[in-house]
Amino acid sequence: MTELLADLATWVSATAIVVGVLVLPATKAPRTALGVTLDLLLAAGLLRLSASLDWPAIGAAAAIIAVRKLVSEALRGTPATGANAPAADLQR
Amino acid sequence: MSPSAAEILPESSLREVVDVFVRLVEAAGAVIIFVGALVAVVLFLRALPKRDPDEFVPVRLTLGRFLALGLEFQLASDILRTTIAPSFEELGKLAAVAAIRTALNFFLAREIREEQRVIAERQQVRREPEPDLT
Repeated sequence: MTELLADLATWVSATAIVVGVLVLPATKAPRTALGVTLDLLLAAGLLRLSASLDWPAIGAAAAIIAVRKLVSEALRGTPATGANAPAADLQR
Repeated sequence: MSPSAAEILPESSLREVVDVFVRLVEAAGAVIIFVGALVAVVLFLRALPKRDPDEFVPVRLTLGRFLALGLEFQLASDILRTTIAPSFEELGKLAAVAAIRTALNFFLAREIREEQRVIAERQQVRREPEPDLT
């Protein structure tokens, strides 16, 4: 089952990148594209965590989750108004 | 003389039984997460032609719910596993994984609540008629 889960995690990771690349030009909203990619990468990280219970896998899963949270919070904290305000689509 | 608990259910048998349960519950969690990812990919691809970022919010909510449900199963398997963890090393790993999953479950629940609030606000704004400025 471990190998199957690792394969599924790899498949979900690859799909996350492909979907993110497709969403970006379609919506022209980098925040949405990044959010979609990170959500699917998180699913892949959880599958990988189920696949093996050794310290490198645990560390990798923790790192992915921490990076995802940091990026999400950073995007959420992007200022909406002001002279240096990003385009409206970045706020979505 | 009545048989002792160890004679009725030896520790090795208990370990085997619990190990089967752990694998079943962990597998159920993994299946839920994978199905959630699969459903989300299909829904993302269906939302693509609309070219509206708002269309992706409900899909992300759906994926978040699947992940949260899968995490609940995996946490259940972690708790089950503590009954048969034989060494301090394994208990340490278990604690780390359980901490990651618990923290993630907390953040996911918070994100789902926030996204639901945003969707409700948007729907309310759409329902309210624009003020007549003439």
